[in-house]
Amino acid sequence: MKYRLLDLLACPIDKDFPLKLIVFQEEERSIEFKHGSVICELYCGLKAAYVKDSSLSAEECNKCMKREILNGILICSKCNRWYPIVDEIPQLLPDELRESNEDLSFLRKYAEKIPKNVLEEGKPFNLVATGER
Amino acid sequence: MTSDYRGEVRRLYDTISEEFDKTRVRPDLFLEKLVDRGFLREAGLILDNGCGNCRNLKALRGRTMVAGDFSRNMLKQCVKNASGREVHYVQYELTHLPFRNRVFDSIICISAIHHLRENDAEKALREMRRVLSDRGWMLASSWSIKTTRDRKFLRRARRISGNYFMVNWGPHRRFYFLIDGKTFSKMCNKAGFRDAITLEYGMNNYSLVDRRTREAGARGEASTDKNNR
Repeated sequence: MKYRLLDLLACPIDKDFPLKLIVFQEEERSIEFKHGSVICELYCGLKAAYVKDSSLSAEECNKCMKREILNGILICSKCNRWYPIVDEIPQLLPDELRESNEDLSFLRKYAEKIPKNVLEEGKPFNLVATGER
Repeated sequence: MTSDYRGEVRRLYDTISEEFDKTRVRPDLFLEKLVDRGFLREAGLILDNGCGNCRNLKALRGRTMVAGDFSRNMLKQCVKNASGREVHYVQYELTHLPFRNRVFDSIICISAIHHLRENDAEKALREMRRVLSDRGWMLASSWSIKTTRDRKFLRRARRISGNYFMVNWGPHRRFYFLIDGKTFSKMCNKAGFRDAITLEYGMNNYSLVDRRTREAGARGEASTDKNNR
């Protein structure tokens, strides 16, 4: 997943925008982008700021597009739902289509990098509900 | 494990993703025709909604794309097929689109909605309406009930009730909601695409919305749906 997506993504449940991103692992790709102007319309995921409040250049945007987020987490600050990014792909499924075993393993694996309020009160799964906290 | 019927369809696609990718290579014929006639020249930011193995991306060269599907294994096929173009992959489900309002200039949703029950199919269309820009275009398709007139098809399908069918894929079965063009048109209208033009082509229903030349303020008000005339 590229930071670019943060300009488009919203919480699938309450449509809150923008989502908060925490990156666990990323890498730089060799592919070159040649956009002539700032790419994102409203929100810059890299700077976690609205485009209108940031001084961005096309050059910065093209550089940003080379960065691939391998693993991370997206958080909705309105409903406190969290969504995993695994192997480059963000997973934004509704609660009833998520697999609790997989999602809880994800929380445990990256517990040190995930905010406390998500680990303990995050929806739809958290480590308090399982008795681990 | 999820017990929702959509979870079952997703597991099926996770299971058959490699075989699907080998056998479903060409883009949708109707979409190809539209592209050939220059319909998609100014496509801007496109969403391929229910992208499967992204075969329809081949028809839409050189444009910024977001491709989404609920099957992770299908998305893995997309990543494998990607050829250095700017495509962003997201795992999500059609009735809960994870995008902000009116963000896409163009949306295609080819042969995906028919895997949803009627109320969910309507919900999926409402979501597409929400994320489509006021000056955008949208093409949605679904298998037609006409398919059931084909004996070959009937050998691998079983009606559950009404318009709901289970269709075999080898030893696996897929859920289908099969309807005629008129019903598809009504569904699009009900979901807020009052300006949709719906037609039957081959064994599919297609609904097309084109707001690129519409004047501000006229969106969705004047019905051009030929099935309603």
